[in-house]
Amino acid sequence: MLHLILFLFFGTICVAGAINLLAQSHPINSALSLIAVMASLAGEYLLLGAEFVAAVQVIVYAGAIMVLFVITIMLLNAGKEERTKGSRIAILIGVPGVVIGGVLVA
Amino acid sequence: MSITTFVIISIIKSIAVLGVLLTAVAYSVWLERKVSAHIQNRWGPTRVGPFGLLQPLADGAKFIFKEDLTQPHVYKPLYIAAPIISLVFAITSISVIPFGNWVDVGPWGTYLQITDLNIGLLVVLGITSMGVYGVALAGWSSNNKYSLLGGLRASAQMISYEVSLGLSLVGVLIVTGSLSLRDIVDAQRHMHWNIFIQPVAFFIYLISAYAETNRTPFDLPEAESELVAGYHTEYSAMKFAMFFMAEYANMVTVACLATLLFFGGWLGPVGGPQILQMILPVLWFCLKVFFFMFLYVWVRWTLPRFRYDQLMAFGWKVLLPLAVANIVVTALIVAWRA
Repeated sequence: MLHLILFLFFGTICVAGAINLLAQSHPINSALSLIAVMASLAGEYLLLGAEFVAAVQVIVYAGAIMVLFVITIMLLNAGKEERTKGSRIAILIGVPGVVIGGVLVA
Repeated sequence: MSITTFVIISIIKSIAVLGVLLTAVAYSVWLERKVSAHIQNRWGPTRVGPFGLLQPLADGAKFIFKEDLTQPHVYKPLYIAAPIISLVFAITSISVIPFGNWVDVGPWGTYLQITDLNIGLLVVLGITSMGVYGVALAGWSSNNKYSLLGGLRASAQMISYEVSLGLSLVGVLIVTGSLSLRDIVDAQRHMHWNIFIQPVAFFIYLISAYAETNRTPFDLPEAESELVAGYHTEYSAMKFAMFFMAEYANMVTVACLATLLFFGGWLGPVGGPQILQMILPVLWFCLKVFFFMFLYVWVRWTLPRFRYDQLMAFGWKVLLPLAVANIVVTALIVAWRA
């Protein structure tokens, strides 16, 4: 029971972080959401009993790779992305399209 | 033992360890001021209480009452979150550090450690890796060129020296065969301290840890406040105090790890009645940690500062090959003996 609750907790954070990654306009917020995804994946690994993999996930992904991402975003001064008319149309068609495609495949 | 007993004992242990850690952080500031003063042939704080011992309380009160400036041009969410991230990750790593042996209080008994994970060493490494974000995000969210450059330099330095830090610990792992901190200390019984078995790893660990905690001679990110500005230039009062506490808490963690991994943790001469046998190991542990904190301060006020390119070259071109060579030699010796 507790196993299920914890699984849903980490899973929700993971999926919410991933969706937030796509929805945010400033790349630094996207990078921070990706860190949340990595950390929740480490939690999932712990639930599977793979504690070494969980620790290495935190050290390598969240602690080194994402730091490099964040350093790059800061150094290259990546700004907010602009929402033009074309990108709005792409979101309007694309998001339902991907959801329908995912439901058909799964 | 039942689950409620376990939870209650864990809560008591956590509160006790947290209280001791925060007091240690406050008094390591006092230690630094007194030792630096005596090295520079002057007195340190002497007026606030005997030997200036109440100075940290006065400093704490000052930080609480200082004006907390709110800048209009910062990126507020990360500006407020960065010192919190720094402090949280600095304090969390004390949870896997063992202070002594098994103690029995009445009908209950527990290890003197908040939790004995079988991957304890990796957890400490992971938490120090995550602590880099506090520095990087503080530098960026301040919306200030000097803060940004200071934060970038600090985070680049920290991730560079994390590599040699981790690799220097692999030598200890090969000799011990376990990642659990309690097992590593238990393997050093009867004066088989790892300092005699792995001296090169000890020096690499110490140097990498000094760079990791941004202490002299690697304190260019910090001393940028003296030169130009640093990543905590836009921070005042309590937020600056949080960065300050995070730095000293990191120092305490490094000192604890150095005693556990190389100097035999809580091992030392014990004897006498039961109560003394439970307290003496903790005393030995605290003495060794105090020695490392003193060494930290001593080195800071003795050595001059590295230039940034010298710092990075040293980390990648000298310490990393040395750490890898140490691993190779250790593995060869262990394999030859088996």
